Order: sequence, then structure tokens, then C-alpha cells
Amino acid sequence: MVRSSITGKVLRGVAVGALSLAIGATGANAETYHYITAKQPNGPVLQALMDVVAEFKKTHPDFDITLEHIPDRPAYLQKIKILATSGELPELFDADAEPYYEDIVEAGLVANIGEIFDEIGITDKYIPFALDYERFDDGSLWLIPWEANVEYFYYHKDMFEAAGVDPPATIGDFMDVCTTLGESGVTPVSVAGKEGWPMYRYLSMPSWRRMGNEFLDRLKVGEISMGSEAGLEDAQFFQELGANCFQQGFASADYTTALNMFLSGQSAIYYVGTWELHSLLDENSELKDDIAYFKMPIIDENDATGPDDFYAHSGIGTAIRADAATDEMKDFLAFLADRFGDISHHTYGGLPSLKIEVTDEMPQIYKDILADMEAVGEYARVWDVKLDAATVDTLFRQSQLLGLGEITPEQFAEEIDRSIQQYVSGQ
Amino acid sequence: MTSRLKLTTWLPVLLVAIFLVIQLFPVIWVISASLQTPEALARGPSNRLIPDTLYLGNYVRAFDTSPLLQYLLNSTIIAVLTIGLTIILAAPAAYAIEKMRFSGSRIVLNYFLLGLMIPVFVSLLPIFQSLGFFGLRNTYWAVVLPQVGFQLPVAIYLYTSFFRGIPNELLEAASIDGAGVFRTFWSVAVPLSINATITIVVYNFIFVWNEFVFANTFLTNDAIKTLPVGLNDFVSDMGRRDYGATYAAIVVSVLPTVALYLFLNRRVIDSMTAGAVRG
Amino acid sequence: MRKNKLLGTPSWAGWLFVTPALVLFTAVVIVPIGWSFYLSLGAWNGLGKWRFTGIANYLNMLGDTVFRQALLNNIFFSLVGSAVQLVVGMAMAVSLISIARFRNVIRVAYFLPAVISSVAISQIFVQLLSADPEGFINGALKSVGLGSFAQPFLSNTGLTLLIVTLVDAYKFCAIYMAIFYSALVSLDQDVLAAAEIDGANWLQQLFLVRLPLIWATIAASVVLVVSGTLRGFDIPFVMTGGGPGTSSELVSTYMYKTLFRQSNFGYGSSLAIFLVIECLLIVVIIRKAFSATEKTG
Repeated sequence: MVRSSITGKVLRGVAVGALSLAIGATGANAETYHYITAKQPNGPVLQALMDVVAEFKKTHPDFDITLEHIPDRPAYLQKIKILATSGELPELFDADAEPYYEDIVEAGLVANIGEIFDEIGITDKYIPFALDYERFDDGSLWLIPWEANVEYFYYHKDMFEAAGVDPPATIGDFMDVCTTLGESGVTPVSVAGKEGWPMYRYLSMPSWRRMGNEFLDRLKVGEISMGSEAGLEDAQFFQELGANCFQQGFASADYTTALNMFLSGQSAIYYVGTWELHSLLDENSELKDDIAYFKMPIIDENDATGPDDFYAHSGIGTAIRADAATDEMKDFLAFLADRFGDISHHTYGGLPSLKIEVTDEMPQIYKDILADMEAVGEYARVWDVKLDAATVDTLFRQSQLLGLGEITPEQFAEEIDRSIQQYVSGQ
Repeated sequence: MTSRLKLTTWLPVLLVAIFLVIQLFPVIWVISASLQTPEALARGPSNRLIPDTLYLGNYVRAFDTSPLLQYLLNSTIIAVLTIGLTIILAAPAAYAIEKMRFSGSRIVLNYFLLGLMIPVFVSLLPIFQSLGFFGLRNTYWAVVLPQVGFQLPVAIYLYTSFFRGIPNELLEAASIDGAGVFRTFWSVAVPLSINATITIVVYNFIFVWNEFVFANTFLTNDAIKTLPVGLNDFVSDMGRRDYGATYAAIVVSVLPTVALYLFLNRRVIDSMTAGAVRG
Repeated sequence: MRKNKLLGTPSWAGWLFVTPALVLFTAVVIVPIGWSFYLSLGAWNGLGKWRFTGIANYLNMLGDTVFRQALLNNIFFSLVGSAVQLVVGMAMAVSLISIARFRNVIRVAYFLPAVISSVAISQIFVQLLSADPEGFINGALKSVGLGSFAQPFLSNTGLTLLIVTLVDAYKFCAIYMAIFYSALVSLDQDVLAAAEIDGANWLQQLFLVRLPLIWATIAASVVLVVSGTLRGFDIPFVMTGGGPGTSSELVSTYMYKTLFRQSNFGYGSSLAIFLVIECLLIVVIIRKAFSATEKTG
């Protein structure tokens, strides 16, 4: 429905492009695709991608992808927005399936990945949730997924033992574990409050257990209030976490600090996705002796989602500019679907968005993770992707204050509702 | 008399000592931190000013992951071009405004001063598009020209307030001697303004050397990236930063500026002694 | 005003001198602000069509609590930051000219924080101020018996604004040291010698002779520092991201988020225009104040 009048939108896209003058594309020849990425060049995704490109070039000598990487996310987004506004998006760039990217799609600037995947017959080669994560609500797919991530609570076994606690099964247990750990003089949880998303993951857990994705889906269009029962439960839970579980000064801790705290044994629990798995492994690619993990706790048996359902996603995806979806690019994508998964996993230890075979030689942890991915029924949607950017900004500010105990859950709910209302009425 | 002398002797020394400690502190801290192992840094922020280890692996990693020397060269080229062009444009403009007093010169000055009020972000989009139009993107000029534009107001402002202090008689004497406008400017005003010029260079350098927004937006090619943008080479996908390598890169980026300032200071001292001798 | 008889210079010579600077400045700085003003009168996400909304964006500012807080923060940031930079810069310059040796090397040392990039200095201070794991400052407080002051500084909404203000001032105060220093050293030695013979003590010399002589430089510095701090951005953005909550949000950081995170180019541009006008008003007031003191003095 949203994307019904495609031609009109394409025309509008062309008009926007024309507005930015006949500046001309950047590519020197048609087969060189410039890729501006938010990923890091030494990570498994880009390394595997460039290996695949090298293999592909053996049969297509003119094909090439040039990389420009901006790993700092604010700097990356600023640049992409300038480029988009100037009608000069590169052939390939990274994006999340968030409302702004929906605007880019509506402007007709990018290719329909879902249709291309179907056309060249590679849709089935991808792990379903990895594709689904990149889809819009109407089911259309405009981004290539690279990774398959699941998010766990990792913990130090010896610290749990010393405090005499077991991995919590319910959210109530989780709080108790925090209390006991705290009493034994251990910082229970380290969280990177400065990054935003780790806070939203915690915040969203109670409502997601109660209602599944329905809560977020209705919240973002203003059909359900943050001040509703489930919403307030979220806010109360988060406030309690701030008082009871998180490290001192969590609101200003960055990703590295929070992770390092856990890795160096200064916090007992750390919540993170499998993209960070490599930091948690020993030289045999197994989880370090001292580390184990548990999944998102449940509330009780009346939950809408089960213990096997939790956060699973494919991270930031990649868009192809509408005019760059050439036959050659399609050939490449087909080739990519054949090769990327294996190279990414076997050479670089990544967890690719493509299905890979579980082999005996695989480290146990990978087998376990792949089994968990298999078992996921419903996976949780990510708040900072689904909500509009202005609301995410509000969410960021208010979550910090909520966790620090400077505002009440009711005040928190009020601010979030107001922001969403503003967005909805502006649509 | 003697007690007063004592006070005026030790008070400044004490103040200087305190300021020195404060100003040197972060540099000493970062040098010390850059010499610690990643394991030590992972345990928590460094709390030493004298390193207990002399681990050089951070520097090795910094140079491995990132073409720091290339960045250093780029930053230097951009700084030289930017500051040079700023001086070349600002000095005559300020001279004309302050000493030639043509009709409309006050308006021109105020017009330039408007630039002091304008945040750089508003200019990103229009500049980005016009750089593309002129084919300047991904060249040093893509960063140099916008920076010159934003540095001009300050430079002109400082120059005009300096030129105001030059007695008109000096210039008049030159023009009575038969020097034309250009000669008077070049052979009287310019040599007199060496101190102002150094102040302006020093002032501009701080901003130019650390400029991030333009360099990040207008340069897309690794080969011409600058140091401040390069500091992000040590950040991985989800924001994890290699602090050891970052600290090493910070130290590397500070060293050349220290050399430059030592050199400039020598110049200041020289021109001062020259003045003293003349006086 | 002094009459300028200097030149029977024709007006065109003056214009010749200013035109190159004028052209570049106009293209880089003035045209974009005009463009921003245009954008501020409408709604635009950077992709679709620009839609005229009149002064709606400006009206929205009135009811925007984040903006209101950012504005108050900005005034604090600018007032306190400017005062600290000027006073510390002057103290540095004056103490430096009062010592006989090593001025050269000391000035370079003074300059070190200024030449470290803002991103880097912010990261250094974040580490220094860290609470858990314990950073240098908390550790030092505890070891000198001031442990009760130890705390997560950057998560304390009552302190973050002050902290980013001071770090920003710390980074830039050496600039004003340099400006004051070079003005002070170029003072006429004869005048100072005369003052000394008159029996003026050190402080009298400073306040009655030296400072009035460099009054123009001080006035210029006030304008520079105030306009600089009003547009302050990097250090708050990197150190706290404006948070927690809105505790250290400035108009410029809020504008940045509105433009590039929310893609709300209309509202973001109106914030930019507001910033320009705010800056303009304050600078005009400062210059008026200084020209008044110049006349009376």
C-alpha cells in the first residue's frame, strides 16, 4: 500500500536527482561500485565480501567494489544524509529498515532487494529471520542482510558461584540475581548507556514478553500508550535496573568501557549480540572457560512469547542504488549467495545471514548458536529501528534519566507518548 | 620594596608552575596510557602518569591499521594551504578596511563579522553540492576552501584590530616617500604585522589541525583523509574502540604540532628581540 | 574618529584588496545561511518535496522543552566558559611575561591541550572522569581523603554541563593566553619603564597601565570567545552526547541531532537561524558596551 504508486515515486526521485544538478556520478566506469559502509574493514563481513569480490573478478575482470568505511555511526549517518539530499547516494550503502530509509525507498532511489532475490532465486539461501529483520512492515525487502545475530546475557560463572546464584529464568529472578551479586560486592551488570540501544533492549523486555511485537507495533503508531500497563512495566523494570543492576555511571559508559568491564571481570553480566562473539572466545574458538550465557528471561507462563524467542536480527543492511542493480550486479549477488556464507564463517569466524552447514568440526558454541537460531519462533523487533528518529532521541534522553532515577516511570511514559504523538500527527 | 619584589618574583613563577602542571597533565596521561598493554587498559582507565610498562604494541597496531603518516602529511598540506590562503586573503582585506577607509568599509567589516556567528553545520549541504559542481570533491581544496571561508572573519577581525594600532604617520611617511598603495602595504604594514600574523597562524592552526566535520563530509578517499578523521580507524562496527591504538595515534598527531610551535616561538622571540634592539 | 588622510587612495583600490576575501566568504558562509533561512520556512526531510510552512518551525521552538533547556545550557556554557577562558588566559599571559626564562618552552606546553583534537581531548577526559571502572580523578580524590566527592561525574545531571563547559574552556584558554601575551609583549617598554619610575607597583602597573593599553585586544577577544562558545559543539557532543537527559544539551548539539539524526531539515535550519541571531545580538551588545567604555575611558 505504502509503495503503490511506484512510478510517481520514481519520477519524484528523478526530480530530486535532477535538482542536484548534472554533477555526474562518481564511478569512473560502469562496473565499479562504490560502497560507503558503516562496517569496519577488518570485520568478518567486509573481509569476506572483498574475498568474494576477488573470486568473482576472475570471471568478471571489470567488476569491482571500492570501499569507503566510516565506522563512527553518527559520522556515517551524517554523510549518507548529505549524499541522499544531494541526490548522490553511492551505488552501495548501509542502512537499517527505519522510517528515514523508508523515505529513501519511497523516493525511488534504491533497488527492491526482495524482488531481485526472488528473480535470481536466492531467497531460500538466507536465514529467514535475517531477511525479515531488514523488511518493512509491509513485508517488502530493500536491504541485503549480512549477519545473523542473536543476543544473549553472558555471565562469569565463578562470580555467580561465589555469590551463590544461578542464571535467572524469569525477570523477577534477574532482579534477585542482581541484588545478591550486588551484596557480594560485585557490579552485577555493565551496560553502555551512551550508545542508546543497549538501554532499549533492557527496557523493552517486559512488554515483549507480555505482548510480543504487538506492543512496539502499536506503540509506534500511537495506538497504545507507553503509560499502559505493559509500557509502565517496562519503565519500572528499567528504573529498577538502573538502581539495582547497572554499574555506576552507566548513562555515560560507551560500548568499549562496558564490554571491557565484563571481559576484565569487573561486572558479572553483559548483554550483547553474537557479533561480539570473537571477544568471548578462547584460542580454540570456544567460549572462555569462565563464561556462559543465558537467554532473555521470561515473566511467567502467561507470556506471549516463549523462552526460545528473543532478540535475533541481522544488523545494518546494505542498499543498492536503483540504477546500480544491473545484470552484472545480479550475477554478483547470486555468486555472493553461494560463497559469502562459507567464507565469512570458515575464514573469519563470522555468523553469516546465509544458511551454513553445521559440521562436526564446528566449535560447540557455534553449533549451539545455530541451533538457537533455528529454534527462534518470534524474534523481537528493535526499538531504535522501528521508532522514528525524533522519538528515538527522546527515548535516549528519557531512558538515561529514568535509569538514573531522575524521573518517574509515569513522566517517562508521558514524554515518549508526546514524541510519538508528534510524529504520528506529522505523517 | 624588597618584599614587594619578592612577591612579584615568586608569584608568577608559582602561577606558571601550576598552569604548566594542569596543561601538561592530559598529554602526560595519554603518553603514559599509550605505553600500557591492551590488557591493562581493558581493566580500566589508566591511572598512572608514569608508565609502569614500556609497551610499544599500541604504536605498532596504530601504524598497522591506519596509514597515520599519510594522514599526517594530508593534515599538514591542508593546514599549510588553509592558513596560507587565509593570511593572503585576510591581511589585505583588513588593511583596506582599517587603513584605506574606502566608502563602505565599515559595512564590509561588519559583513565579515557576521561569519563569527554562523555554525558550520548549516553550510555542509550547500558546500557539498557546489564542491561537486566545481569538481573539487576529494581534493585538498574541498576542505581548504570552506575552512578558509570560516577562518576569514577571525583573521580579518584580528588584523583590523592590529592595524588600528599602527600609527597612520608611518604609512603616510611611506606614501609621501612616493610608495604606492601596494608598496606601502607590502613594505610597511606587512613587516609590522608579523606578531599579529603569528597570533593568527597559531589561532587558525588549532582549528584547522583539528577540523573534523568538513574533512569527514567532503573527503571520501582514504588517501587524503586527515588525522582527526583517521582516529576513527580504531573503531569497529558496533563502536568498540581500540583505546591503546587511539592513544598512540593521539600522541603521534600531537608531536608535529609541538615542533611547529617551538619553531614559531623562536620566530616570535626573534622578532621581539629585533624590536627591542630597534627601541 | 581619526580622519584618514593616508591616501588619496581611490575607493577601487580598497575594493581590490577586499574582493577576493569577500567572494570566498560570501560563497562559503553567507550563501549557505541564506539557504538555511529558506529551509527554515518549510518542512523537508532531504528527499521529498520542500513544503512551505511559514514560521511554524519558529513557533514550534516556543513549546519545545528540549530547545528551552538547550538554550539555558548554552547561556551558561557561554558565560562561564568565556569568563574562565579570558581570566585563565590572562593569568597565563601575565604570569608568563613576569618570568624571565623559559617563556618559549612554557608557551608550547601551555598550548598542548589546544592542539590535541577535540575528539581526543574529550575521550581523555571521559577516561579521567570514569567512575566504574575507576578513573584517575576519582582515584585521586579517594587517595587524598576526598572520597566523598568521588562519583560518576558524567552521569550526574547536576554536573555534566559544568564539566563540559570547563573541559571546553580548558582546551581553548591557551588561545587567549597567546593573544594577550603577544599584545602584552608588544607594549612600549618606555611607557612601562615610566610607570615603574613613578613608583607604580606590580598590580597597579598591570591594571592601570598594561591592561588599558591592550583594551582593544581584550575587546576583540571577548567577541571571539563569546561567539566561539555560543557555537560550542565538539566537546559536549563527544563527552556526553548532550546527556544524560538534556543536562548538557546545547543549541548546536540539538541542531546537529535534528538535522542529521532526525533529517528534519526545516526545524534544524530554524535552530541554526536562531543560533545566528542569538549570537548576533549578544555580539552587538558586547561591542556596544566596549565602544562605550572606550569613549568614557
